[in-house]
Amino acid sequence: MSTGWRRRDFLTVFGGGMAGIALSPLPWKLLDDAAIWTQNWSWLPRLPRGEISTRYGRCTICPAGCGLRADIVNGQAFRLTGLPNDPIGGGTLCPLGIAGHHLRYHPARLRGPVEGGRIEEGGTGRDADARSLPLDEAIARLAGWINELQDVGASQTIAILDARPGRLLSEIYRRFSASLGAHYIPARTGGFSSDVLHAMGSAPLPTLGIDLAGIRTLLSFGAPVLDDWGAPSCANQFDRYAGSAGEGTTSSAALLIQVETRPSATAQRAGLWLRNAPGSECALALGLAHVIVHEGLYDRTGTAGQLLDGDGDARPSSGDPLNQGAAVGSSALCGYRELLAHYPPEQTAQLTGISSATIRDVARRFATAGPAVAIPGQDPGGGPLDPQAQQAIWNLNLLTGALDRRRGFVSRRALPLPQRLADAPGGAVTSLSHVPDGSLRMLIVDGALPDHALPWELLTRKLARHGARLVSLSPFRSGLARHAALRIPAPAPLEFWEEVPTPWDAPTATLAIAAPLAEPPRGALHPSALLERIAKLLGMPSPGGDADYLMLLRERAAAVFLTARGHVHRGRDGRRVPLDDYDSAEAFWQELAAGGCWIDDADKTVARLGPARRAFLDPSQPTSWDQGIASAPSAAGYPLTLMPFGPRSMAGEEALPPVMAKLYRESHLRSSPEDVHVHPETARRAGVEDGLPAWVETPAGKRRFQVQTDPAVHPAVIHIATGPAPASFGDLPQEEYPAVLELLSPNEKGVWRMTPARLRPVEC
Amino acid sequence: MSRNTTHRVRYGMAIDIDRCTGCGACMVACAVENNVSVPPPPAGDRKGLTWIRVYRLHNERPYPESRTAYLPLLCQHCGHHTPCVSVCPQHATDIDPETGIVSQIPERCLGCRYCMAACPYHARYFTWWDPVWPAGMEEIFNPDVSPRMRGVVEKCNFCHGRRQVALQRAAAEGRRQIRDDEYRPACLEACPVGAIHFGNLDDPKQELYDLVHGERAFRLLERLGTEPKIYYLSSQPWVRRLLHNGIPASRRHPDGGRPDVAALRHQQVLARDPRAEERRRS
Amino acid sequence: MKLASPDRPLIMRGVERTSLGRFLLWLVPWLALLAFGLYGAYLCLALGLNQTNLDNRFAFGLWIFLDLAVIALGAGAFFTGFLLYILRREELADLINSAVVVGFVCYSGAVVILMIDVGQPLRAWFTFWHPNVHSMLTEVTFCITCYLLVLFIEYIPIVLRNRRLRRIPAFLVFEFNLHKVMVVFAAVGTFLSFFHQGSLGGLYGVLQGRPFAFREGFAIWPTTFFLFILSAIAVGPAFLMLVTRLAEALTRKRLVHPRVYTLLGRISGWLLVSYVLLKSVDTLIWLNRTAPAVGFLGHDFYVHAAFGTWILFAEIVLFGLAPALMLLIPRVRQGRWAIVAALLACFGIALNRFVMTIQTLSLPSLPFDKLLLYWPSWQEMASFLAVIAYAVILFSLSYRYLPLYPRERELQADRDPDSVAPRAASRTTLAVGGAGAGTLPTSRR
Repeated sequence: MSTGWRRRDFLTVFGGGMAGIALSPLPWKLLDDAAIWTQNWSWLPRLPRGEISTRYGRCTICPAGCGLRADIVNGQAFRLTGLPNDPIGGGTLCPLGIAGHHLRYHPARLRGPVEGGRIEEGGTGRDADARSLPLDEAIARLAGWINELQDVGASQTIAILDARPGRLLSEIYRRFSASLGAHYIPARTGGFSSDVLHAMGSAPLPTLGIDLAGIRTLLSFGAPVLDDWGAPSCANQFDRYAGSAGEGTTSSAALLIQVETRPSATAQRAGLWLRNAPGSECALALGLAHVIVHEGLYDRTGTAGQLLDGDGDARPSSGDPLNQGAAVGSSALCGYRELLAHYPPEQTAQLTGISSATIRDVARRFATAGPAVAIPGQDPGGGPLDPQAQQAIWNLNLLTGALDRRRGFVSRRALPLPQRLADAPGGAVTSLSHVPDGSLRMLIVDGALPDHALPWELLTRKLARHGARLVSLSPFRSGLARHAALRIPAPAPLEFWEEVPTPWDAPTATLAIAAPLAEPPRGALHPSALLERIAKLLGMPSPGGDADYLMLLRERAAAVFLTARGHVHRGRDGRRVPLDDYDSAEAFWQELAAGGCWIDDADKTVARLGPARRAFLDPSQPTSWDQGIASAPSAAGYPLTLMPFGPRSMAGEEALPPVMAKLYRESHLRSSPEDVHVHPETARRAGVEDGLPAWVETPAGKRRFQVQTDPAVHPAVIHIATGPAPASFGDLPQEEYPAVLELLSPNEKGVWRMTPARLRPVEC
Repeated sequence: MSRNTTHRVRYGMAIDIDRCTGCGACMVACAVENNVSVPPPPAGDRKGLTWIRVYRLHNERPYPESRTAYLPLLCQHCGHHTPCVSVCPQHATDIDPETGIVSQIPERCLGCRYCMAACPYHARYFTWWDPVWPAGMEEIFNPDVSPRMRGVVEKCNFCHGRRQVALQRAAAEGRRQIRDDEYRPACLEACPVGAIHFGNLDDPKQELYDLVHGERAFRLLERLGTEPKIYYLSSQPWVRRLLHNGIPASRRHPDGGRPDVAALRHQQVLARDPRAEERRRS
Repeated sequence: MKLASPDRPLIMRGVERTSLGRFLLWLVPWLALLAFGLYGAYLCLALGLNQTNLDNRFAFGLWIFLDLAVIALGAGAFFTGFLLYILRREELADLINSAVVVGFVCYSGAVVILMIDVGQPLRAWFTFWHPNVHSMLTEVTFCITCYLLVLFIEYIPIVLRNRRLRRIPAFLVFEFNLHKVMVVFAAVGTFLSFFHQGSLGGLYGVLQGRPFAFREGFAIWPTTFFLFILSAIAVGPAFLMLVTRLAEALTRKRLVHPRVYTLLGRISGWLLVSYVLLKSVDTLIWLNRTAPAVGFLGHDFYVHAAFGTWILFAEIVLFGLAPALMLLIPRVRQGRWAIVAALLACFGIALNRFVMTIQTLSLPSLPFDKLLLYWPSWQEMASFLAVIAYAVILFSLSYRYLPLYPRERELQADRDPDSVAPRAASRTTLAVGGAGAGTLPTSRR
């Protein structure tokens, strides 16, 4: 063998073979195939194929419920766009809505009940640390826990937190908690706090909306009117009424005056931006009122005139429940005048940092260039104004008659309930601040995406020190769900029949129905069905009147149909159709299910709100008005004020469509919660530099943020966004995120806008 | 049915900076429409994929003179000596003579990124990561746009997929051309304030024509001579000062002589310090 | 004192090489560096370019900068070939072989790095299939690929002159025939090199959208096209000088005649002076005419502290004019300062490539944009260090086993530089492919 095959032969054959292969088509074929392979990587997703159809619906990610058109392939919505002329969305969707169909694929999505893995137990809130369990078992577990508390007579230690009050589901929550003896706690909506409204009149006030059509002056105390996108409140569509409000383009017809410390998008685009000293909204409102009263510019023909010009009880109580406050008498007015005497423009200028000339000008404009409305702000991340400031703002409206006419605050009729629920209405409503500290042993948190931030501190304060259980109904293991001992996921937005509640400030009632665009996962259960099954297990009356949620929605639509009022904005073409044109409740329902929106006629009979006289002042607590400045609890060594802020529906740590990262991570379009915004001079004095990390210290702790200098920021203030957390866009450990909410200490009124703070450079 | 090749359009845009609120709907709509992936967190803004990116402009003045504006920046679809097209070694990017749209063929791109270095608008993006989506999400992909693989360059193409769909629909109805309202990019559709206008720049009947020929209109880096087809509109002096480096075409390279350096310097001083002019006068 | 190394049969006759053990010891750190770098490169290829600190703005970074620098420094190969074979500067026969190896490692290393740098290396050949002839990069790709082939062909005869390989008659014949046509390859190589060195300059010069890099020019070529050629051929000899000096220092041997250094220094000096002159004129035209025409003032480019006017001064005066003048003064050129001058010149050329690549991308082009900086990731640095290691290893192996310096033995035998053989002798030495050619006819011509 070896004799015939020498090395030389081997080399020859090998060399020849290589040359032959090189000249053959083989290498070229391989080259080509390799390139083709790079064009068809197996891990590249395959595109869906099929006929494309269209459906109409509503987005339920935030309370606004904008109308949407869904392009469908293979039964799945792949593109969402706004409905033309939609009364809520105005024809477009916000970024959240545009990517709304992505939300159900979020890595933090729960596909079934999960137990454990809460942050407090050292978990990360992720599935790896939790045990999943069958739906039936989870329901039995929850019922068992409730039963334990019931047995020891501690039902009042149970509370349900409703993230989106005003829905039929909210009604079911109320009925359930009423028959259990538990608290029903609705999340805050915009506008005046319910506490403040309660303080305004001895009788319950009707539901208030704002009729902005034709408003010429909108005085906003920090309300994000032009921020973000138009929904969900009607006030946020102000620019649609008023035209564009940028520099050099301000329409003479309408003026937005924004009182805000932070250079928000609204402040930057407002016709007039008053950058007040932190917490001086109350002082400014009183200062404006001083000018209006002093110069006699108030509405002399309306309530203010009767109260201030008359002897205080000029108009006897006429049986109108709204006028019952009239008996308060002149002492209150003396107190109010006395109070205003402390706020002449010069004094106010000192407190607010706004010149006395500007204060006079604004007061005159507000009083004379009517119709004018003053609204209190609630930044989704910064929380509500303190109650006194809200009261002072309320008074401004009272002075100029905005509570007495159309084109201002108006009352609106409530949506009719389905007949079976109307007979036994839901129980009392508790506000979170009224729940005694340390009293709750079980808190059930509704699953809707909250549109405002809620500091965890506010909730833990209410929970019992030991053995308190949080149950989350969120479809995601993010936000509050990370603290939950048990999570029973509800269907994600666009996966179930849902109702769009009337916006808090809508002048008339509205009703819209969101039809599902996709199937929920097997393990998800709608909260109404969950409560139904728990009620059955505990032998309680059915909270939904033995009807499933879809049936209740249909019945509510039927109840609306029976009122024979209002009109429908048709989904598919945006046309206005009077309700009378529908010949059956079923036809009306079909229209609603196809993206239609019903809008009530204006309620002409209750156009005048009447005097809620106590609103001017509660003389029992004059001392609390001393400063007119809601200052943060002063602490030595903290020269700055930390004011958090946040975008709507994204102010916390909730799951968001991952593609939203384009606005936060992949560009600097929106403020990241990892940045601290500082005036350049403040940064220089603190020894920190633009673009570099710095410590932000408050009495509650310290976190590391990136400094972003902005010459428009108030020199005594630092701003940090409360959300969205980096993990909101996907599945990430939470530790990487310097949550500013943990640096805040909300006061007993549930206000956390201002916290004393200081900046320290990070030593290398 | 073949398209009518004699019908030439020059698609372009006018974006009203004074209307833009910086909401970001265009960026999200673009990413959703074009199946743009979300790179993992280390990406940040320097390795992101934002075919349209909204920049925040600030006049850097303290309160009460502080002003903010927003500038949506996408591929400018340069019409003359298109910087990216002229440098691509293998025709992976091209300008369609029929529409003026600068296209990108990811399947041919070798990922050398020369086009990115060439683009003065930074409107081209490289796929640094393998595109990854949450499990199951491919079932809601836009069926008209192929996802790109890792290692190629991608960018805005005026939602070319939508044009193809519109053309098919027109063909099915026996029409040779598409109507103006049949083809609209996703960013325009998403804009809540109507800041984006799109259409044929050569058609005097369209609203766009008047906008781009109005006195509010200007283009970014006009003097580079690349004839971008995105026009920006603003009446705000500081925005125009900041963005407008336009100098009369007569002085533009290469058809002009020596540029007026003194005038240019003056313009730049003004852009940096708006008060300079007032001080000079007083 | 000859050591009986196991690889003795592979080493040229009559030259001294260190023991195999010491040689391997020398290679170990470089092999380690190579392995580390290959790991970095693997990460970039397998996981994608997210492993680098490149980004959408810094589309090009360390790799492209070093590629450009290395290719400029490797210009010594073609330029020496041009001087030797075409202009007949026979002194250079002393180091033509080493010049070819230096060129080969520089170019092959650069091409390997380019393959890692592109996102889809498997599609690199598309440039040949769908070429855009208007692109400078197409020109670069074509020329560099072809020139690498030429370098490879030029390298083959050097390899075949290995003592062991030469025993195979077929190789000998092949080498002999190849050698006859080497002048053709030298010419082709020169032509290709002129073009791709220029095109590398053109790569940036044509960027109309990047006013910092954009230059006007002649016909389709911007001035950077010509400046890159000039600067490359100016600094190529200087780099060869450095490499040879370094090899001499490491081996503690004289490898080429000192006359060669003088020649290289003179060539480098004159070319460098003309380069600096033209570069200055070009800079003035660019600052006063080209940039303002597209809306930028020279001032705009130098307002940032990181890239102030100092960089312009350093590039043109400190690392351009200074070494050029040093090399032009005969006393300096012949003394130790020549090394300093060569170092400065090489650094200057690297700085020029840095300015054209990195600074161009750093500077904002949009009026609201700001300066961006970039620092390469360890994967990028490692990949490049691997190329350095590869270069050192290949050069070391070539030095040990191949006749890199044909006159080494001769110079070894007679340390006195004055008694060097006449020019014809050196010619013969070259032609027979090294000093150990005793068994072969002394002349083939």
